[in-house]
Amino acid sequence: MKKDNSFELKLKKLEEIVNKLEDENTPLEESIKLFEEGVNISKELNEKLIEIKGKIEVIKKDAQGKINLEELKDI
Amino acid sequence: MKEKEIIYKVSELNFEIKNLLKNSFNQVWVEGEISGFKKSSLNHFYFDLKDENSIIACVIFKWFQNEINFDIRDGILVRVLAEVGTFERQSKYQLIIKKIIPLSLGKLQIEFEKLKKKLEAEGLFDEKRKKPIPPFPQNVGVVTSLYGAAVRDIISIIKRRAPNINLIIYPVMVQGEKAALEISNAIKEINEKLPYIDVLLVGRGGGSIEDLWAFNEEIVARAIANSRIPVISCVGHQTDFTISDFVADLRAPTPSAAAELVSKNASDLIIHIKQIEKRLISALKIIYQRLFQRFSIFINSGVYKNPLVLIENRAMIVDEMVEKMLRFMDDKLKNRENLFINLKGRIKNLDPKIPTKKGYAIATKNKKTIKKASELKEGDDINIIFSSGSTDATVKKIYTEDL
Repeated sequence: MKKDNSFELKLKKLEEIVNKLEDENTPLEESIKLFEEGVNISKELNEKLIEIKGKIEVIKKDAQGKINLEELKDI
Repeated sequence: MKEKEIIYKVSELNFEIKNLLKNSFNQVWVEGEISGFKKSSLNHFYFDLKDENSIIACVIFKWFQNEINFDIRDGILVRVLAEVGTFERQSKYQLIIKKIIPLSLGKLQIEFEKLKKKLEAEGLFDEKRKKPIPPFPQNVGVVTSLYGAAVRDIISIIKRRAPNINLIIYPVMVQGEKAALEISNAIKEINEKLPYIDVLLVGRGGGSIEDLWAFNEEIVARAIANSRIPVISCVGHQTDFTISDFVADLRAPTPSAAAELVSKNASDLIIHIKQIEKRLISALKIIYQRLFQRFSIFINSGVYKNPLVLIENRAMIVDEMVEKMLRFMDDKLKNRENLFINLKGRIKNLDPKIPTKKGYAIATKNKKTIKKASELKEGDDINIIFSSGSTDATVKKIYTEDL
């Protein structure tokens, strides 16, 4: 997520959408469009943050001292 | 054998000796150097106190350890308050220590203070040297043993709180002679070969000061200081402070706390997004309610329920208009009638015969009412009308003057 401004921007956008949705003065037709947009953004954010599973790797060195990364699967 | 001589059983003798020692030495102060320090599985401390010539076994039971505020370890000179106790079964005696006071710093403690002063003088602990810890690290390096509690705690916390983080574990020995070299090499190697790593956790779980000693070695301290990647130290428990802690960019009190530190923001963000999603859903519910309200106003309206209303309303309007018209006509007619009655009354009043009823008579000439005597000549034929009947007459004499 480092250097990923789009993430922050999207989060901000999502917050704005929810604020607007919670505002009774927002016309219904606009609300429904905003809701759709909001759902899409939250899906994207979730994919980035939760659904992408990080790896757990262990550094192993071979006889020449070269580094290899070995994934730990069952922890 | 004389009668007076007492013959003890072994256990009886040991019991007597125990009482003798206990009564003679139940509160003694002893000074000596600690040697062969051990912690039992039940957390009682066992060691020897010695001087140049002699040695005595000692124990500090767990319940007497509360007030100890220094690291008991080999080589330290101490003064203890103790009673002399025995193991009857083995006929060994030992000091059961109630109180222990350090008289000198141990060798390790002296080394620790010396290195701390040296590195501090070099400015290695300066706040301005410390690199910021990235708020959302994607790749977290871990330099620790693969077999300790620390690595397990770190993995489970990261997996639970920020599952998107990649953990790269560099397994090293964390105690023993090779530990310091392995740890410092791992830090250097990660900096050289895995520069994409955002932050490094360096540490191990709890243990004695000897167990943690590698993290007090200069070579480790310098590797941490020279690391381009920010380092979070996490050695032992909350109360353990090592040289690594002073030189690291951030000290975490435990390995678990370090894992929490690097995952905190991602974890907060996940919670934040979940909350926004909840608000999004409840906003949808409110929108639905608003829609439904609009709809229900429509379906509850008269037109929707009874479409004839449209016609009925108009019919009523027409009705009303007709009614109004009729009423209007009626009023007009009534006015006419009144006018007629009025006229009739007025006509009645115009009846010329009215005065005759009061005894007056009406004189006419050629059917015209005579109003003045001057209208007549002598000899004119006139007709006189009474209230009933009439008579013809002839004018004999005329008097124009009033009577």
